[in-house]
Parts: sequence; structure tokens; C-alpha cells
Amino acid sequence: MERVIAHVDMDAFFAAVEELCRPSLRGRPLLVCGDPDGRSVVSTASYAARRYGVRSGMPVREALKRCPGAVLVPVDGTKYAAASARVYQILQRFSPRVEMASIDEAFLDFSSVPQPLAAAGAMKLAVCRETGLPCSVGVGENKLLAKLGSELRKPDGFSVLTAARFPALFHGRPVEVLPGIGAATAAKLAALGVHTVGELAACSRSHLEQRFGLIGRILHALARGRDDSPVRTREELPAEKSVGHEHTLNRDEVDPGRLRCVLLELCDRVAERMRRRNLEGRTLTCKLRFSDFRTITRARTPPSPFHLPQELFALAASLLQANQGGRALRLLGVSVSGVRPRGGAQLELFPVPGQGGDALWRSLDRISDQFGRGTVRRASCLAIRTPGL
Amino acid sequence: MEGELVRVLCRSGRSGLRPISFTRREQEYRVAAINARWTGREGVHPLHFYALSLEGGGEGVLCFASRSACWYLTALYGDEV
Repeated sequence: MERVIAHVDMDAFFAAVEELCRPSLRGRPLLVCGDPDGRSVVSTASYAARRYGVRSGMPVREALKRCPGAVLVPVDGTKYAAASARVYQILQRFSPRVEMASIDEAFLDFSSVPQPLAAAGAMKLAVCRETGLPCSVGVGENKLLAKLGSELRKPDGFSVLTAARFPALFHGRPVEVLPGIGAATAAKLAALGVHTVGELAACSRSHLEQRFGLIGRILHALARGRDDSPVRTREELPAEKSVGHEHTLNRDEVDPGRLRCVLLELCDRVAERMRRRNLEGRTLTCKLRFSDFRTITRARTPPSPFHLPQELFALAASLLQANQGGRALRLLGVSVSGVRPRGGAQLELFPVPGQGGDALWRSLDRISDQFGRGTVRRASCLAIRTPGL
Repeated sequence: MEGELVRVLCRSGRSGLRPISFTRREQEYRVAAINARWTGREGVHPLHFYALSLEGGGEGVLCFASRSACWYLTALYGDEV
């Protein structure tokens, strides 16, 4: 093998961290979810809960129907971030090239490491022993094969997946097993009569490019187990292309006033993240999920780039007003795309009073830094409860 | 800092503070094991969390808030577990 890539996937990470903190939960069906009192979705289900058919992303209510004895534990991001940082520290001992793909998975490039398979095995042992958290490791010639390999024997598995074994193991499986192919792409492929990885591999590159454009080229490579993407360290990761935040409401909400409050808090949060990175954006997208789970996204691109909370809110509120249509919502989201470093924007000839600068917001940031988030809140939002926002 | 203010007896060593017992509503809970520890933030001030198993079977989470130098019990799991 020319390249040797390993993928480390922490098994049921959030649930495993909770079990570590509370050993009495070990072996019990455990659901880590946003707000157990509300109607959030399952963030992570322990393997004991998965035996009942519970999956991540499932509404907690549905999960409890399938597994009535499950223990509900609220998400504690601080705890998981600390555990993830500990895992990252350990991984860095085994390769100079570590890419944290998310809070609970990482790619390592072992190409320059002598005896890479032994090193990958030692890495897995070190993570499990030193953190007490189980993980599965896949090793392959590229990131795709490594990732698929880590899925082969979960939990606590170690697999080597070569390009030669890829067709036998994956050509009969549905296209959704390939990373990056979600329900929408799978539906488009199904419309072409393509359901399995093998059927996708049989499609010519030109045919896929014709149908899907640049994505077609990626699909063509994925179906053949090819992936040239490098393992990128933190310093090499590209800058964010968008900044967003979304919130699942505790109950279906139809009241425009309350929805505007949630939207305002979302805009404040997104604007704060942009401000701290000194970014401005071109397009604001509002995501609305109705009570029947139908989801729409609507975007607006004003003539000038924007970054202030009130600018975001003006755009988001107009999109909400234009698209809610009196229907109840269960989720609201706001994201800003086309972000770039601030500066160089054209000055307004007639600036609107009160919208000049962001000195106030930077002062509020300093208060948050000093005393914690939520120390100062908008008076208009005090009546609503938005845990996690 | 959310949690119940408690009185904690702890040992201070190279690896930082190590809770030995805490008193809540005049009842003493003795620490059997520290299962995990992690650090959070309250603004710029660190919060030191300790996930504990208690003698007698319960479990809990203590937090030392460096800003106030106070201990908080942020979770206590007892008979229901």
C-alpha cells in the first residue's frame, strides 16, 4: 500500500463518556438527548439501546416507545469536548498528521510511520486504556476505505480494508453506505435505477458527470473505493464557508412573536461567531421545519455583505414571515454563507443610525468571556426558554 | 454556575484537588471513586468537574468553580439508578 490511513471512530461516544462518569449505567440502554423534558432527538444511543432499534436522530418519544426502560441523559458538550481533546492528545503521539473529522472521529496518516498496522493497533489500545472509552479503527489506502473499514466491526473493532476487498464487501450494499451519499442523492440515483454501490460502480464517469456535474465525478470515485483527499491537520483545514445555528423547539410553535424571539437568539449566536472570527457574509439562509417534518430552506442575498445581529435578524425575520404561512414549526435554523474576512466593504452613503458599529456587541462578548454565556440576554427573549442556544 | 452549593472535604496534590467527601443538607456523602474529571469554563474562569461514585452506591458530579472558589453539586444520582 502506498498510503496508509487509519480512521478512529469512538463507539457511541457520548453514551460511552456518560457510562464512564456513571459506571452504574454500563450495559443499560442509555439515550443521550438534547432536552429529555422536551421532544428532542437522540444524539447518541448506547449499544444496549441500539438492540431495541433506537438510532441517533430518532425522536426521543419514538425511542422510548421502542425501549421504554432507557435511561435519558442530557447532552453535556463540555464533557464530550474534554474527552475528545484527550483522545486527540493520544492520537498525536502516533502520527504527526491527525485530522479530527468531528468530535468523535479522526483520520491519521500512517504512510511515513514504520510498521503502520502495528502502530494503528497500538494506537487503538492506547485510546481505550488511557481514556476508558472504546473505539473502532479502520485502516485502508485512503480515507474512504479507512472510514468504511472502521464500520466493519463495531464496536471495539479493528479492520483493514484494501481496495482489492472493497468490491466483494461493498458492491452489494446500498449506495447510502458511502460517505457523502445521503437520502437526497440516493433518491436521485434510485431514479436512475442505481441502488447499490456495485450498480453505481457500473455507471460511466461521463454519465454521472452529465447527471450530477462535479458531484458525479466524486460519486464515480467513491463507488470504486477511490479517494485522493489528504489527511489535513488543524492548521491545514480550510476556513469556514458558512456559519449557522439551529434549534429544535420544545413544542410545535405557531406564535409569530415567540418564533421571532427564537430567531433573534439564533441570529445573535450566529453573529457572535462571525464577530469573533471577524467575518462578514453574503447570504442568509433560514431553515424552517414544520410540525409534519417538512423542511424548507429559504435564502436572501442583500446588496452588501452583513455581520451585525440586527442585519441578520432583519433578513431572517422577513424570510420567516414570508414562509411560515401560519403553520406550526418544530425547528428553526439560521446560517450565513459566502463568509469572508471583514474589511473592504463599501461604506454606506446614508448609514442607518444605531447600526454603525459593533462596539456594543464586542462589549457584550467581553462580558460573556468574563462571566459566561447568557449573563446578558435580550429582555424581549427572557420569556422564552431555549436550552442549548 | 448551576448546582447546589455544598461543603467539600478534599485533598490537594500534584494532580490537583481530589474530593474525599461532601456534605449536602447535613448529610455526608463519602467518595468511593473519581470516575472522570474534566474542565469547563465560566467566562474566563475554569470549572473543574469530578464525576464520582459514592460509598453506598450513588453517583454524582461535583464542580469546583475557580471564580468563587466554591464547590457545587451539579448532579446526584441515587436510588433510581
